Amino acid sequence: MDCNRIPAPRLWDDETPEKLGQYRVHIRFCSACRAKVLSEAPEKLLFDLQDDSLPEEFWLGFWNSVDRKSSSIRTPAARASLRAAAATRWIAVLIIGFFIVIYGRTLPETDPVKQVRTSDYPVIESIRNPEARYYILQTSKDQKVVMVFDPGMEL
Amino acid sequence: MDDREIVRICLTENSEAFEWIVAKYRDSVFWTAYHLVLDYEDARDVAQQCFLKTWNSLKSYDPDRSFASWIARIAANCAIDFLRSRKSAEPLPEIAAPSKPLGSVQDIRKIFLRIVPLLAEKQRIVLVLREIEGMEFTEMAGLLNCTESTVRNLLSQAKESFRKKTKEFFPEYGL
Repeated sequence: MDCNRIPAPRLWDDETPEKLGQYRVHIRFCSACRAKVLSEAPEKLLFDLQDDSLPEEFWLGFWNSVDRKSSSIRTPAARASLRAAAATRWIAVLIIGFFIVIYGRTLPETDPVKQVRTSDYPVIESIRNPEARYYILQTSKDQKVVMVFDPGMEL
Repeated sequence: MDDREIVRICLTENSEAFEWIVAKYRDSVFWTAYHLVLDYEDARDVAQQCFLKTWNSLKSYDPDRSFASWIARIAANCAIDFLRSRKSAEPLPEIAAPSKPLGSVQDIRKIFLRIVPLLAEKQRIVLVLREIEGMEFTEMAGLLNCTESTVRNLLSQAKESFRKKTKEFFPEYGL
């Protein structure tokens, strides 16, 4: 069996991609030409290796892995906003640090416990509802807890 | 939806659209990598590296060019980088010769796996990029940091060697 529809494979190097495509289609279906190519220039059949598709199982987890590694560099807009957020954080830290250094040493020392006086306790207003009751619990020498029970009170 | 549109969406609206690109090109990127590194696991790693690189350089993609060739070039680049880093690794595996008559795609794959590891690395690279990927000489020269004539010489040596070894290992080929 002989077929001379395509030139010798050793001459294919200078052909245009279109012509080469035509030859490739031909040798996919013409066993005589395929055998000839196989014996004269087997490398010309290597193009056949490109078309295989892999089973879906092979790709399990592939996208997740790519996604995980690229998520920190998502879109250009996201990158810009990440940079802006980082810059804002640094500016805030610097401003706070500046105020701490400048004013930190001059702040008066305070003791919140000592500052509270017994006169600061809340005053119990007169209760208009005659059904209301209040209880004052003396929890310690300087501390009172006042509980008011007013059935008319709207919460 | 065509590739240019997907790239535009990735860059301006929704970066999740990149998943479409990965789903569409993962097989071709994998095979480009595999034909160069000749190992499934390594090729998968190279494919992953290729998509990360693609993502990082998406902004520089020229929409007037084919996206498929652009990503194939990135895949080849990643695989070549991988080969450079694997310099002192174990020798490439050899596959047993097929026993049935030759000619099908499966047989071509077996021949490829038997012969290609025996070629010098640069010869192997140019043979794969030219005969499987259909890459232009100028592109290959760019990838390998050499002149176009060097690539032509390497390819010529690679073909000669491939033919000779195929005849040696698969004598049933002879007409």
